[in-house]
Amino acid sequence: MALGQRRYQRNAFVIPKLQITSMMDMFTIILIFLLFSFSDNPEKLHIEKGMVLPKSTSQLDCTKNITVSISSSSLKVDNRHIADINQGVIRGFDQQHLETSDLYKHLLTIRHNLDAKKDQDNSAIVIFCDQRLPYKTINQVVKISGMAGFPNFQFAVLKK
Amino acid sequence: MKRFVRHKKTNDTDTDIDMVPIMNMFLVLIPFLLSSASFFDINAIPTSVPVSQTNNNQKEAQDDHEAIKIIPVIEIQAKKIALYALSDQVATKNLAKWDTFFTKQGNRFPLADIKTYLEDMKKQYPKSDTILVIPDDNILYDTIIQTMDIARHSAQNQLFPNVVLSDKI
Repeated sequence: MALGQRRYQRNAFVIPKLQITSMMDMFTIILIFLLFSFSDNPEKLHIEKGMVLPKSTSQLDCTKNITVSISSSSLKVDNRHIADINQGVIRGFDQQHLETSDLYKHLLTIRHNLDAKKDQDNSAIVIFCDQRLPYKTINQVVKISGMAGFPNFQFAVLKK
Repeated sequence: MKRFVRHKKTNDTDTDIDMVPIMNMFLVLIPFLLSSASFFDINAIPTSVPVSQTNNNQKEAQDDHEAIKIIPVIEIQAKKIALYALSDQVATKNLAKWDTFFTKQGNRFPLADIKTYLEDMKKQYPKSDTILVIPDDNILYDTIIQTMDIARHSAQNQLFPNVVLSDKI
């Protein structure tokens, strides 16, 4: 009797079906979201941790050029640390002799390299700057960029 | 009736759609789209600094406003925004009427008033396309960007797309 019951139970076992309907729903939602945020030209732009970019109505795409990043603590060119920033003041910058700064020397080297390659298209600087910084900080960078042969630049902003 | 019930039972078999190929497709598509998705939409505002140049084609003051180019100047100061215009094609007397200022309202600059001012100027001198922005040392970057947005275009049309950042002249 006991054996018979056991056999009956073994025969009655049915492989449970995996309910994938909810997973399909989830995938569909993710797929639609990703399709909307799909970018055919994904730029790998590195934004400093803690940096808050200002919002703007500008529609112009940010082109990958020489990137200058001004955060509340450091100044970087193409991810290379150039100077420290303390309370909006860039360390090691002489207001009267900006051409002695490391930033000027670095940008001048880039300028010479671009001139040697005759690469005029890639000559704009993209400035990533924290929205809480005062103009005096940005002004020094902008002035040095102009002096080093980069009078045209772009301010990176987040789309409003 | 019994026959009908029996017939219905036989037609009630579950027809399972094979979802495996769809799932496979999703598993390929999702990593691909994840790798090329941009979660931050970064745009840019083109700007420049003043560059010294020799001006060989100085024109005399003309009456034809359509052809005249005028450069509005926005000076963002701690408590107000001063506005005036520069041009070598317009008489100083005519330029002086554009001198004005808007005081700060609480923590905000009256950007809507500036927009109206710039729209009037653009209407009078439609060929003008450059604007000079001169912020004070302690003006925040965010305020400069908001001012640039106002200066570059209004809701209806483009105002002064070429923004030049400068120190006090």
